Amino acid sequence: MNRVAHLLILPLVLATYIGAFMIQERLFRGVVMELRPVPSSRFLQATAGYFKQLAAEVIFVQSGVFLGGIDQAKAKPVEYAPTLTHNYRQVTALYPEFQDPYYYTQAYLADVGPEYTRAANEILANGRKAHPESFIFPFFQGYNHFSYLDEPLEAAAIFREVSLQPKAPPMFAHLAVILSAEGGMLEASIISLMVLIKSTEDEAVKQHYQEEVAMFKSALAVQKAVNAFQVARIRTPATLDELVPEFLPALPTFGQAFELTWKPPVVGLKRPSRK
Amino acid sequence: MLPKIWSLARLVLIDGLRRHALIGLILLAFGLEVGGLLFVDFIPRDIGRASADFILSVGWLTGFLFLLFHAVQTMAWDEERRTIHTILARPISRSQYVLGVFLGLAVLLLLLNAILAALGFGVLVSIKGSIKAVYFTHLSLPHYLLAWAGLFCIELMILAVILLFSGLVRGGFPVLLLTVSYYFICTGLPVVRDAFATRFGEAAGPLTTLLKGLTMVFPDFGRFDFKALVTRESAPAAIQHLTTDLLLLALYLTIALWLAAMVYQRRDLQ
Repeated sequence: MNRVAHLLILPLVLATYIGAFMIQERLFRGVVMELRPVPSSRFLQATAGYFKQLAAEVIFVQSGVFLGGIDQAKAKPVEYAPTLTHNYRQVTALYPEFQDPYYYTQAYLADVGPEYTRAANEILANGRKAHPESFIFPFFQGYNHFSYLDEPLEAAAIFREVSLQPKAPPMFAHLAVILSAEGGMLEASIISLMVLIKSTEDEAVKQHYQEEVAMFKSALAVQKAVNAFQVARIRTPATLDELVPEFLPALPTFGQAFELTWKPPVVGLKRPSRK
Repeated sequence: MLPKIWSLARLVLIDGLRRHALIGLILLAFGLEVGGLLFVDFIPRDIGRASADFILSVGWLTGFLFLLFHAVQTMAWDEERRTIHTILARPISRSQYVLGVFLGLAVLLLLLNAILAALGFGVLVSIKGSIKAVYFTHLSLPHYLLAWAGLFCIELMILAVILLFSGLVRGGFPVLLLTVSYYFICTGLPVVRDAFATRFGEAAGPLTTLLKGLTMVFPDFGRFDFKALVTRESAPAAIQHLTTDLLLLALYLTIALWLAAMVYQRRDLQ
């Protein structure tokens, strides 16, 4: 009986097992990849203990595998963005020093929609706190403000703050000036540019800044004309063309450098290449 | 007194080596570290940090396994096989027995950590050499050693508590359960304290005071977690409190071993 069992029943059980395994494999292939929300960072910290850093890295890798596995043509970011936002919030709270989630946040969340852009900036704030020496994360934050949220003044504030750091590239101070001008803070931009002129040694750069000061002063003249128009007509002009010729001989032009913006009652300057 | 303690420690050390407590764990850790090279492949940018975390996490896992499945069992075997009677039949006190076993197991742990740290450093150097500098900007040997020293400190605290639990309850399994519970309280308590501080501010209510008191018994192991320093050039503020942390560790070990010795003094070993 034992020999019969070994010769007949065991192969049968083995064959059934292999068959069940193959079916399970096929079923698994058909399963749509899903990103699951992870528990809160506090729970993870309490349970993972000394493994908390590894836990954060494993959660990040899971999100990376998910993002790499989805069909970019069919997948709608807005569908997975809430879970991805939640997971990156937890990962960065659990292990703020780990840098990769900040790059992925910028790459996969910032452009999904205003709600996610703000969430991305909150996540990036963790990165700034953990890496105060890094210029990448504030750059991402500023970029998100002016590019996705149309908030040039908020972007300028971030860039100005970064520009005060001892090793900050001069690019940040200049970006702060340009974005302040776009937000309509022309006088502040002129003052900042004058400071930049004083602090730079490079003659070509100095010349470039002086040209920008002249352009900002022209734009400021337009703002003053708008103010005069408001006092005289007790309303804001519908377009800047209304200022000509009574309040301004002609609207200034800035070549390829800038173009005037008009968000009543504020006159600004922006780079023409941007939308 | 010291020669007697050291003689017993040597016995524990040799017994541990004879039971392949080290070689088995080292092979396991080496296998995990090699497997970890695949894990690191999934990290696009912060590769240095993730590699260092992985190496130290493997070290922690190995040390924890040693504590739960060797240290706990060593204490249980001594009673179950009545080895403790043979030892105490010699001119050695019960306090010296506790200290000798602690020292023997601590030396075994030190050996285990030293070997794993050396292996891990080799793995880190090879990873650093195989990728661009931007992905692994800095590998600090002093900070790496500090991280392992911190890990060893945590293990010593758990070891001292295992000796205390072994005196209080009979059998390896209850001690193992108590040790796991102790570990989770130690890791959970700082989170609870942090949650309370966030919710109620710094105002010290009775619950806040209670939680602070509990932290004296269940220490915050996070204070000895220096993993984040391994890939950093400069040492942040955490390192400035090192002297206080070490003093606290020494006192904690003294109190735990003192209590363990007292328990063994009064314990009926029949």
